[in-house]
Amino acid sequence: MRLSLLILVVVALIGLHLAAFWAVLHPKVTREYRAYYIDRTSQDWRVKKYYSTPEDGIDLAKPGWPNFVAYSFGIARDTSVGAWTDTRLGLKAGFELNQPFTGHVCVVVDATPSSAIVNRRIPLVFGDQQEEIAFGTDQRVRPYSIDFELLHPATRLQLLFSKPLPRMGHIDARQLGIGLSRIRFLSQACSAVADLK
Amino acid sequence: MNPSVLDSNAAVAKVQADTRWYSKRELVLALILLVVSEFFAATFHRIVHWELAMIHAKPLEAPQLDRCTEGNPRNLNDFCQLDCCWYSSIIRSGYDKQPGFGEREDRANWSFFPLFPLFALPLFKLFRMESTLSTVVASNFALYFAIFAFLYMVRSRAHSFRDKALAGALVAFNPAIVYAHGGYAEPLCFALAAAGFGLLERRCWIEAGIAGGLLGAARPTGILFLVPYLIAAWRSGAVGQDFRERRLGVLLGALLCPAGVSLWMLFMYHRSGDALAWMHMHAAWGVYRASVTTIMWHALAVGGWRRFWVFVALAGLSVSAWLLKEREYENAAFLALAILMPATAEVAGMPRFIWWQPPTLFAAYLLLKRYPNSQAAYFALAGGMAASMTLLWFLGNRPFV
Repeated sequence: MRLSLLILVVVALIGLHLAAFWAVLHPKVTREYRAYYIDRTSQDWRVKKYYSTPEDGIDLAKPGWPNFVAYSFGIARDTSVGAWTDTRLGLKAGFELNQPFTGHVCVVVDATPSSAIVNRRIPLVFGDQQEEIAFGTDQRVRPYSIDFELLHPATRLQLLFSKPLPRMGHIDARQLGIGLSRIRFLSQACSAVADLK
Repeated sequence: MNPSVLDSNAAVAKVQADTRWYSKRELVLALILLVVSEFFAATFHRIVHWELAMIHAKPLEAPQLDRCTEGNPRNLNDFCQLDCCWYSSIIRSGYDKQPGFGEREDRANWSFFPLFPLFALPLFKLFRMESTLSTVVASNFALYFAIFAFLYMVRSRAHSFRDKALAGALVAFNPAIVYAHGGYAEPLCFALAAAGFGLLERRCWIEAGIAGGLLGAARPTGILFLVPYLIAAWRSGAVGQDFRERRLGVLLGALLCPAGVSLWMLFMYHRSGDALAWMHMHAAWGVYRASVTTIMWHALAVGGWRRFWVFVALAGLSVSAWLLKEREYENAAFLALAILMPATAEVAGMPRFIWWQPPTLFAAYLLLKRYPNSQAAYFALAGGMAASMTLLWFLGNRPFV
């Protein structure tokens, strides 16, 4: 009798642990929750949306994102510039957009490199097209314009880092790469754009 | 009747009578020590009030008090700050349905395990105590059980009343005693872990598993009790025994150890859709996981309190190494893991994590028993640290959590 009871309890406990294990592997959460809490790739939480066109771009100093941005990843807000890429949030930093882009697109990124990025070329990927931004030693915010010829609809713009960057200091654990102030999407070749500022 | 059976029965009866006698004395001793410890905390609480009144100043506001005040029109208890506020929110309104607190509205009370708020709930529901007071009184109650459980843990090595008083005083005048008066889960976890170690020593596998299971529902480190359980089972030879009921008992105990965590995770899954929400919620506190060496290296370089916390962690690991040398493998493993697990995220709170582990006080007990001349020095230092932490706590500007 006692042995049967013990066996029954053992089976029940094994079932309990299996159920908990299954629950761990199958979270039922929103994309926003997963990116913010589980994957830790995004700092978007209850983000407010504001109206803006792709030509006006994403103003990273403003709270929230324009309505054409679905969500961000690999980017942390910072009052000094607007936002910084932070490799603690992953080796990819950028935006998933609500509207697809095709054809000629000039992406103008107002950016500044951190000391870990000076004199380096960082890949910028839009959809399936990859270009590079060449950073020099100038650490002021300045526009970098990159031409894309998009054959297929593209909704994802991202900067790629090959490895985690060094942390900023003993107290400051951030791994900053590129400071971003504004990103604009112009439907023409960059050479045809008169004023990039 | 066989005379040897009669002798054996008499011996068992004598042990049972002795155990009852020991238990009664230990219950009274624990009560006396609890009262003295209460007096200690209340004294420093009054001192801070007098001092601030004399200079017409107010204590600095403790962070995260909004969880104490939210939905709570009654006066708060001074002792309740930080984690206590989060526990009190669970007592008042249960677990949050979604994150919505803090500056970014990304915090929820999911990081706080359910056993301690459940322990405090009757005070709130039945005795109509204010929620922060319920939490504080619950931690005081738990301190009583912590003292008693530690006396149970060291009973086989405490042969005189002096030994017992020493063991009890180690808990009642723990350097981090303020947490037992501040509405934290630490004393409850300590009580369960000490009871678990005591039961392991007595080879009460199922009972030890129940203690481990409850411990897992009280704090994240509770799951670690499975490790000393398995070590004890291995060392006792119970794993290889032929008697199948005994072997099943050991297996049942092992399965009970993580039962609290499993139930908690299933509840979290039901509540938030994420079984590990209690761990993932650390994102809202800006906690990033890294290697222990990275965390410690940078904390050492920063200096100040962070360096102090690293030294506390290293001292704790040294205690674990000493316990290993003394062949106290169960205690050594539990202490080392209980330090390393939080150290993958931060070193803040190390005094609390280390001083509220039964193996730390067990090592202190063994050492102080071996070197009785050092008892005065130990209690002077421990009392000084406890006094400093209690003063800082009530000034509202403590750098520790």
